[in-house]
Amino acid sequence: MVQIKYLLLISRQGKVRLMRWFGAYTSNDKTKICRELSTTVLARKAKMCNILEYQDHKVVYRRYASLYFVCGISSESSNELLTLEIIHRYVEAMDSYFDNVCELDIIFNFSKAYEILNEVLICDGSMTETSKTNILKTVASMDALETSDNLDQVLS
Amino acid sequence: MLANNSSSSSHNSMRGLQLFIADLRGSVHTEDREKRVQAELVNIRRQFGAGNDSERAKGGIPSRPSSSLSGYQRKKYVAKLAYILIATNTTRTADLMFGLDECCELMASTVYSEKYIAYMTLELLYYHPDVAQLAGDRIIQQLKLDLASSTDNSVCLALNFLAVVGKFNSVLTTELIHEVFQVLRSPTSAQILKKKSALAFLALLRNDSSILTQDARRKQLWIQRIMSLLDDTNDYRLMVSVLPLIEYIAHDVDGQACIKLIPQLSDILFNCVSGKGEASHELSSHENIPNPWLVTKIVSILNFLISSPSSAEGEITFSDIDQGTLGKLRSSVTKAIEIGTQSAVDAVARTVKNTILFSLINFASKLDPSTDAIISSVTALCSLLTSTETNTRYLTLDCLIKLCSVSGKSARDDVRAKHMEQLFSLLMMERDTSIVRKLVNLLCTFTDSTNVKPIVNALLRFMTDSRHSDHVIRTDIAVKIAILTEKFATDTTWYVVVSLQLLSISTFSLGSSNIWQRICQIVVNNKSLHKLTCQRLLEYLQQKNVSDAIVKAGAFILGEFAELLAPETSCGELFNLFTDKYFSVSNLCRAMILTTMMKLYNRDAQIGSAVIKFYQLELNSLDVELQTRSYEYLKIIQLEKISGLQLTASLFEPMPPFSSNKNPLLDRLGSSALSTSESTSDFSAANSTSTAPTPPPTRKNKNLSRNLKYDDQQLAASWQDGFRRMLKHKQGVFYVSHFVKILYRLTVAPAQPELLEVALTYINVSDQPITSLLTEIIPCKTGNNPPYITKVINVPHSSLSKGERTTHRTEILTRRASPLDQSPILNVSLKCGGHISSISLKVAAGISNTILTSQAANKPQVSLSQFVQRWKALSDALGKNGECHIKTRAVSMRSFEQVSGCIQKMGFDVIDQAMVGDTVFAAGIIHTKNDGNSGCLLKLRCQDKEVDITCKSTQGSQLSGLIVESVCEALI
Repeated sequence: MVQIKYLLLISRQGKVRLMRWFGAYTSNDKTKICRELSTTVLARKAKMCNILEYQDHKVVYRRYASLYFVCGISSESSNELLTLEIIHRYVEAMDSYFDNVCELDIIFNFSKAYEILNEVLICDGSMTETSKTNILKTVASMDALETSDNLDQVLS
Repeated sequence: MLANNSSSSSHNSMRGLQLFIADLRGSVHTEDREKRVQAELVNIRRQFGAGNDSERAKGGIPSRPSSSLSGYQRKKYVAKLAYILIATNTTRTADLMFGLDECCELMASTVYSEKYIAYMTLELLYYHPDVAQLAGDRIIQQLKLDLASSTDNSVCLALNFLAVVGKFNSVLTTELIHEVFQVLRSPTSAQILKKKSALAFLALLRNDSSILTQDARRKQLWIQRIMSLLDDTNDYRLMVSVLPLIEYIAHDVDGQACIKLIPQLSDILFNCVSGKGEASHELSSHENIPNPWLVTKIVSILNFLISSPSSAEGEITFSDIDQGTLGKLRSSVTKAIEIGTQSAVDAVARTVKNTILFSLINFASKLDPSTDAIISSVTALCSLLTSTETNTRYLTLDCLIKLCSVSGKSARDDVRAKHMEQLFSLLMMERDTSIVRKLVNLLCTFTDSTNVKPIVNALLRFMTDSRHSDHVIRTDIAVKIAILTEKFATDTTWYVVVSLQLLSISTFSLGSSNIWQRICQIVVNNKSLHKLTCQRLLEYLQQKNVSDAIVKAGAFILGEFAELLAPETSCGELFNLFTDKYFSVSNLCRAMILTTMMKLYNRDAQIGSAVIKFYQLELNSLDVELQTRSYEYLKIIQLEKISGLQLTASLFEPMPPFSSNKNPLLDRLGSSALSTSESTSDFSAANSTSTAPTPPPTRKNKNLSRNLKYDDQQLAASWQDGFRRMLKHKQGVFYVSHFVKILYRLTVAPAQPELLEVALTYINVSDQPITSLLTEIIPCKTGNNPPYITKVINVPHSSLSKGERTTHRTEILTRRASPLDQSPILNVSLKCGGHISSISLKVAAGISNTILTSQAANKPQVSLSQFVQRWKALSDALGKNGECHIKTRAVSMRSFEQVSGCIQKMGFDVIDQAMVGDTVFAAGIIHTKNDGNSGCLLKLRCQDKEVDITCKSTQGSQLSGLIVESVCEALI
């Protein structure tokens, strides 16, 4: 039933840049998964397929520039391609928001990255919104809110 | 891509945080980073602590830090804490707990960005049990405030939070699920809030579903509300988030309640796949591509609700679905195949198409597909094998494996007949290990005795030719070849040739020695193989550079059966052969050769001196095992020579047949797929355990819950009116409410009177449109022998505009007579305006409905004399047994005319007579599927205040009683 178990953003150097755990994992499990997946995924060649079987579930990953987006999905779901598509949606949304996104954008604006993620994917990896325009609209309205808050602060 | 600092700073206005992140990035060594983090933690702790300490000194209430920090500063420090958490991979969670109070304080801020940072940090932290313990109450209080807030953004944040962390703590469910449900059901909520609340609700429900399961009424109401969220057929956006919730309800809360959704879901699926409405994908406006998220979700729900055709009775299978819906589902599959095989230029569009194709093909087996349908699925999939994308190839193979093992023979036959060459060439070309593995699994799935040779040959060619260096996959394939040959080979020579070839290929150690051991076992157990194997092995051993496995098998088998080669090859020659090989093989293999030499010596004492020399040489071996063996064998020979005992002969007796039937190779395969067909091979009794992929899970224990559901129905207040009307009249008004009016018409075909068709017409009588009109006929099930069987012919439309009408047709087949109170229940749920209502009504499908009038059956009317004659005949034959007599006062119709009219309407033949003024005589024939036809005679004497009913039937008093019951009910 649980579709996506976790989403990790791992850099070429094997550092975790963003993580979201949709299931209850202990700290040890998390560290183990981060460590093992970063070595396995980074070692795979570009031509290999993006799906691998790991522990009791499947892992779907895709590389965008210097970042690997890694998703753990339950083995009974047959949605590997769709997971790639979800990742792609997320990247697209960030790309439009940051205007050609790069790793540094995600590092420095991690809170924004999480905010966009929340618009795409919450609760066990169920999609909230599939349309990029709608996602960006929501995020933009929140940005506007933030700006007006800041303005209020300055004025007061 | 290069960093664009100007753009990043414009998004993140916290300079302190920027500096901190830059510092961490800048520090090369881990220790530097650790130091920086530590320093920052101290700093934050001081900043936070300053306010806290003064507060504690004053009051004693520890929480509520003073607002000595400005909102901006607080936000900055909390954000830093969040970054530390991410940068250290959550290893330092415990060190960050001191910031919780400030986090909660920040949560209550009215400034959106501050609130957001607080929520984000808590989302990251909440999995830690300490958080709920330390600040759980404050968080819940704030969540309650935010959920009730009038600004959508605050509600959004709270819903996000619950959706992300909802499953970590069941307190959240009990405290907040009602608030979340309020947002979900409120008609004024914005769409984004509905979406998020659906998922937040799901997260909370997943945590603790007892909130629904413990309260039947709430369950019914809430589920109905949730289902009505699917109504908006113009905008499918909401569905994406509601469908997971419904899927969960179907799986874990109440699968029964979801059955009535099947027609509606099929509708949506069909619309999606055929690109109607707005159900198509946003990305490609130029071509209509179905929304893959909707399709896969719906298919997975339907897959769960509909059991496979072979499943146990009482579960919903394709035969329980009405033809219209089934047709839609089948054409969705056809359409998906069509879409999937179209070429698409855009990579995204291709992915989407394939996703839809895979999910629908996997579902198709539930719909009792025709052979043609399966063949077209196979063809579609095989055409995808040529795709250049590795992922597509991988998933195609995966899908093919499922198709072959679930839909069975016809799929396998088709692949066998048409696509083997393609698979073989793919095997040779493919570079990706995962795909090769899938491909090998697929090949194994449809191997049988007819095609084992080409498949094994292809696999062997792969082992020899392919440049794959992955040891794991090579070992796996070797094991699979061994199993396939053992299981399916019918030709002994071929078996030996292939097995030895397999052993000779593995130039490296195969990871485990299982394969050659198994082959040796089979050879020993089958006499017919002995000689052939020995000859073949000899040929191999005469070559240079043979594999270890061959030498091991040779050492064992030639040692056992050396005499079979006797005239051509002597023991001395074999001894020389093994001494040649001895120094080029591993220690384990050498040890085996030492034993073989002993066996050879046992057969031919002439080689004794050479053997002794060899053993003496090996006494100096560095390997302790070799040394010991040589020493012991040497001692045995010496002892024999000195004492003259026949020691070797008794020590090296011929090998007895192996008794273990279990093939040890099968353990190695684990859960990977092998063919389901159980066939005992010619060579051994080794049976394989079936490891085929299991079909997707479906609901179980439905028989139990089914009747519970019947009993649970709360009938509408005035259900009796329609029920009685239905007993008397063939058509009329069944039910009327403020929103809907239901008319009925009963028809019986003269050829099959036990089959009653009930046509219900729903008319919207309100001012507003009706949506989510869902219906279900719930039969009363009594064990394995139900009194009647219901079958839906077509379902009504799920939405009705004002004044519109729609029909719902059901067939009820009466198998045997049953009491009226076991009549099927019709459950209708609908939404009109803001109202949601659910109506349960009993459909009168009593025994009296199967009575045919004599006009309809083209028979002459019964005369009074005939009636009297039959009455007497029945009395003589059955006595009081066939009779039921009742005096009833509780009827409104008492006059002769009324009673006579009513009985006539029910279908009985009323005897036209004027002799007895106050009595109605009637006759009729009851039709049932199981018990056949039986006649019944009725005598109703209308007295002043009561009606005296007597009934006789050819089937005894039980049937008579049931008829009288129906008559009484109708007369009321």
